[in-house]
Amino acid sequence: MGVAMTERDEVSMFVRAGDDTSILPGSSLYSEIEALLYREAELMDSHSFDAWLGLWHPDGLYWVPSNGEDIDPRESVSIIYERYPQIEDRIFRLKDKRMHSQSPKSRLIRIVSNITASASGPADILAFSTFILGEVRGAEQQSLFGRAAHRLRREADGLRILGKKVYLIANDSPMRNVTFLL
Amino acid sequence: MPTEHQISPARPASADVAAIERAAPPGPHRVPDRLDVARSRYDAAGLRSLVAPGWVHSAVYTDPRIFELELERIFHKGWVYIGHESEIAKSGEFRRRQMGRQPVIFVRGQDGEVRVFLNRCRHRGAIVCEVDEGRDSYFRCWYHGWTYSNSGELVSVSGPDGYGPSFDARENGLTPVPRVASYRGFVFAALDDAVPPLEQYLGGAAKVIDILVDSAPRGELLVRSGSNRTIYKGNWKQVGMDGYHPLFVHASVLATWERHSDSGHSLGATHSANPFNFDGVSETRDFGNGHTMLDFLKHRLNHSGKFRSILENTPGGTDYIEALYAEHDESWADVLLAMAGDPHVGIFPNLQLINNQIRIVNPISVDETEVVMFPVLFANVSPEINALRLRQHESFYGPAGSGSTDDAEIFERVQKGLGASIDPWINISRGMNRERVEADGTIVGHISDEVPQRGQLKQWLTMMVGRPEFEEG
Repeated sequence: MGVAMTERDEVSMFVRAGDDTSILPGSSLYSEIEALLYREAELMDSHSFDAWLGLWHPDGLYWVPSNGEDIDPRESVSIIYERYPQIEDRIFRLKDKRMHSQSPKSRLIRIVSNITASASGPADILAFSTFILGEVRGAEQQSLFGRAAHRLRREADGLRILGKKVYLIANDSPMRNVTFLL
Repeated sequence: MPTEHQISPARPASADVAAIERAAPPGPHRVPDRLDVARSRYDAAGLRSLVAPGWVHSAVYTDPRIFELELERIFHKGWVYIGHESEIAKSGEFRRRQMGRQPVIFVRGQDGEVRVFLNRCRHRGAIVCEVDEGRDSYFRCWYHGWTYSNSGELVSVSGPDGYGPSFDARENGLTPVPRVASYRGFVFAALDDAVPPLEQYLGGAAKVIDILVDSAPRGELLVRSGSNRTIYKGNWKQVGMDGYHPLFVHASVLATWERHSDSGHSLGATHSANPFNFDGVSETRDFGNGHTMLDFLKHRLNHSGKFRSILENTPGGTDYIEALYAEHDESWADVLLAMAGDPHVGIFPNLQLINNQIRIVNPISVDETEVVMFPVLFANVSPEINALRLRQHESFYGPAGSGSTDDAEIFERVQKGLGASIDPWINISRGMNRERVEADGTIVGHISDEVPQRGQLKQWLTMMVGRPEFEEG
């Protein structure tokens, strides 16, 4: 059997390697990462689906684990575990008027903070951040709290999301619909 | 909250009941008279008046008094699914579960035996297990230190002198749930001793559970992959078995499946050539006792090559197919392969086996329900097959899945609509004109027919009105 890439191998991209170089706040690279995360948050809050998809690398992996932060997705269920084609399907549905769970649409505000980042090479960055996300839909309001890891790759036209992991601290509790972008 | 009794003419409930009892049941296309069913109490006749052939009164889904009776007469009396034996494969492993309002512990003792106890200290009543799952030798109440073994015995009381010599530890172990039984690893429990044997209760549905178990080489399922826990603001009975809704509720998902056949990690491919079409061959089944099925067998036998080719393109898939045919006779292996291990069955009141998951329905209140989804893996297959099962599950189910979310949205819309009491009847008559009864009593209809809704409601009424009819089941 060949050396197939397994889910376990894939998600190692969200773990900082010991010899990675910290990217210090105030540096131009840090500011660039910070601007990207804020831009992404704005696109998610405003349901700018195509623009959000445009941030992604075509080999992208979008992961929202269930029941904890560090699970093995090959053996344990996630809330979302999608490669780019499935992310693209998700966007297709979010734009479909027959996605009832978004009729009416959620109104969203999120605060992204506590950004730390490191580089394992000039084109390869891992950024961590925390967020508070408020959703109002109909007469219902919910708050979600989480930590995100972004694996970013520098392409000719800027940084692209090669992987995104979102740990919701309530991911082992009964959850209402999460039919918007995390 | 139902308010129909407030807008109806004030008449004694017993007179209403008598009127209903004398009246011929309305036909499926005649709306029952709302004035005749105004109820202020739920004795047996009152409960019966909420159900007419092809119709159900919305109070069944909205009245908190009905909900309390359901807990007492269904969840605290009959068989309730607890968990799968593989969840607690090792001694001392435990899971917290719920039987209506009763918090229980599902645990394998040091002696290897599977038990179900009330999660409640025998002293002052605190729960003794405060985490959802784990493995331990003891359950300790941290209020005053009473300690129980994982087999339920009271092994230590702090300050025993305070109780004197007449105190008998053997009479103060964790309270066992009176009846616990397993069907091929699926563990059920009942709080009332007077339930029929489990296999009798499962009846014809047992053979359908076999579709999942036999699809695992050597029949070994692994239910140790965590869960998706979802919650919606709607009645627990909304989570039915409905083959009429997918074309509408899941229109956006079907559109992605039509875009490319491998969408949804091939869950879409398994369903190729839409099984829900009005001119299709898929069926609905009512096995009795409220157990119902969306039966895709005829449809999937026509398309089983698709799932076979998915497997053949997955490492270990060919070995898996060979194992199925080595273990089972050819016709049953054909069925297992065509069904992709998906029984699509609902076991009344709280268990569903749908696609790759075991699903537990927990009623929280009359208008709030928790649905816990446990993906099922197979013990003796390649990691790639199990990973495929997980990815298929996540694509459609869970709080961010493409299907569960639109289901939850529709359930909440239904609950809001049922709040209207002016015209309180719900139409569940679809297919009454064409359903048929098989030799063993199973009622069969078209996939889009409301055979499951009627079957579940029949059992609901049987259990709600009490013991004698329950025994008939």
